[in-house]
Amino acid sequence: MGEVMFALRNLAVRKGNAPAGVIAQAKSLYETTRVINPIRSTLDKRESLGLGKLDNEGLEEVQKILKKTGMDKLVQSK
Amino acid sequence: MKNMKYAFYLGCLIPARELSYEVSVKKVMPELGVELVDMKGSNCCAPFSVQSVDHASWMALAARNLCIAEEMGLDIMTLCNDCYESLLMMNTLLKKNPELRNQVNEILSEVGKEFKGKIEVKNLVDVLAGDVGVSKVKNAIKEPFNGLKVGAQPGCHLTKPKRIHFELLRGFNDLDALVQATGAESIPYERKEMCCGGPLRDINDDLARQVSRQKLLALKEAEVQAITTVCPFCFLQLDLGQLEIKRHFNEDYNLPVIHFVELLRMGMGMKLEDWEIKAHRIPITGLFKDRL
Repeated sequence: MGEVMFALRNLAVRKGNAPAGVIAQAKSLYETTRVINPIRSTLDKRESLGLGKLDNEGLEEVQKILKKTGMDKLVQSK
Repeated sequence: MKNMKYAFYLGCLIPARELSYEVSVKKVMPELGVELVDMKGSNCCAPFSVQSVDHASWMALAARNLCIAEEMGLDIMTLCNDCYESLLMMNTLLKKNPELRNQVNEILSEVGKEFKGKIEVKNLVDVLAGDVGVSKVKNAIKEPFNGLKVGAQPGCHLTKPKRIHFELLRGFNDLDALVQATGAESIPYERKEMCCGGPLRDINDDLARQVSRQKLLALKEAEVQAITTVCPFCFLQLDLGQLEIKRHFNEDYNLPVIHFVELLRMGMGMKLEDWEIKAHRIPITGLFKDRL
């Protein structure tokens, strides 16, 4: 049943019918490798705690994958 | 002796909104003999929202993370139930379905990666209960909680989808056993298996609030003193969610919500810092004042 629901949602997205928040997350993923990104003060706090930098070394690979699957077109058109 | 070194998959929400969770994990796990190695270059797990946009993208992005862990030669440990669902589901499906594996590997070949099926995906609860062991966790407790009544919120993906977790024989019992190991009492309550409503955020916020309200009502009726979570979404829904419910329904629950690993940390005799205490929207100072 879950797979059916996801298939229906994929179809809905292709018809331009998707909640704005969902498209925003997918777009963020394409642009930054993450669906949610920390704000500046959180990044500063992270550094002060010695937690290590968040990297986006995978950005190029993520974008290549999403170009291959066509999701780049789905999110860039919104 | 089990090798307890894992590729640490952090996900997106914790570094963005819940640094206190990450800090507690990094303080507690080494004390239990667990080594966590950050997964450099990892991407979002591609949770249900991305699955809703494009199925193939979800599969390839989740599989890319699995490949990174395979290259590290380590099983993955996740903290977030959404990440756990995405990565566990993909790992299980690709191991079992050669045709699907070929499809995904064809996409991954664009970036020179190949899924081989060499690692496992585990959640914090899996590692604590299964690899570290409940006895060892119990032995690490220096300041037991002496019957504190806790409502444990396992979250959806610790036990669902059933077809995956049935084979792995997972259930609620692990988290309950871990809570009991701290000296607290894990209280049964109605709707324990119910979602927190988190996945409805940004889709239907009103419905998300109604769902979390149902959970909180059940927890209140069970007379718990605190709620403990293992998923950052559940934490936000039930903690920050109480402020939203106050605004929309004019109802007060005043139930402190605490990450399980914070409970463990305090039980092990470590104190939370001021900024970590303030990260809880429902104050925890009253209930845990001697441990902060």
